Amino acid sequence: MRSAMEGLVIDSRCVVCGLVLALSMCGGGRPEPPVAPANAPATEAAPAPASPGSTRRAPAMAPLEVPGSKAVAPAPAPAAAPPSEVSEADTVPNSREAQRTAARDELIRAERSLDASASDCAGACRALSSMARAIAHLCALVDSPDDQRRCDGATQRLAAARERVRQSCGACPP
Amino acid sequence: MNRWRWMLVRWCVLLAATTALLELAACRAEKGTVSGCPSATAGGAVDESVMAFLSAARSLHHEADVKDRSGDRAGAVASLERLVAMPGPRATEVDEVLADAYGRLAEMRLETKDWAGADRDVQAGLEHAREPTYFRGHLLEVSGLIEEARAAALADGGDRDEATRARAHAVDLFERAAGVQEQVIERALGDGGARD
Repeated sequence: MRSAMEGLVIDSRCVVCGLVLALSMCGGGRPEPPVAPANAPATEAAPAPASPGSTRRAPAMAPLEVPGSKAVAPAPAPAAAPPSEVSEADTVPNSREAQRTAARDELIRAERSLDASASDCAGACRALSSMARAIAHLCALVDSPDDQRRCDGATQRLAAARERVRQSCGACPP
Repeated sequence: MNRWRWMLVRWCVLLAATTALLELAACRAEKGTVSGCPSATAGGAVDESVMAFLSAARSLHHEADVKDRSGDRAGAVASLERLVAMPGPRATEVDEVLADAYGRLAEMRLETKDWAGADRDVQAGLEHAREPTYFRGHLLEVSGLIEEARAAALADGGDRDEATRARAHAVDLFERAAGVQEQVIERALGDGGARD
């Protein structure tokens, strides 16, 4: 009897391990980023999304929790089960299965959303730092009214970009 | 009972492997979704050559870090030169790594006033970053730094005309770099690259 119980326990553990492994294989996927429209600036084409596998030297971005932040975008709630005319005996197991499926889908969606948001904010912060450095150098080289005009325009765009990043991601790491 | 136990274990491992493979297939079936599916590329195949390249590149960056920290700048440059000389498969990740490595090489050469070498690295890096990504913007930023430093050296040497040209070029490059990074930010934050 004891051996049979042990066998059952091992059986249960193995099944759980198998399911956890299977779920973990796809847990970190992220959705495709949006496609840029054709109204990008004339100097450069629409940017390509950063790929996940590169060995970059840029600092990582910790997602910050601010109101309206991309980094904390909640996953959509699972849809309510539609009314059914089948008997309760049939409904309860199906309902539980549907709840499990919905919960699993929600978890995957939330994880993907979080991954994508953290990645986007890290990329935005990194680009913001580079933009700020470039504009600082640009303005340091001002030598004419035209240069000054370019510096002023770039500084205004930097302020707008900084505000956009702040609203979406919170403060960037130093 | 041990025999039954091992049979159960074997059956479970088989079940887990089968389920994992089914999940992996489901991951890759999702359009363009590769992150989270181990080593999968957008093409659908698990590309070991890309993974091997990325791993080697990471190691060489670490090697360059260690050498640079110990004051061996030439050794650090040599490590990065090995990185950019590595044969790599055609993949976006590989291009980004190469663009990044060329940018780092250019910065190192800039510090030693090897402006010609730094400029060569920037141009080589830009070949791997034709789209407006962070890496392209950073390479343009480094290119601006090179021209800025060159302008200062030319002015110090009394070549005012050439210094003025280098300074104007630097301003252009910094402006372009800022424009690229602005697009990167707009794209990352989801407005599709629209400008104010």
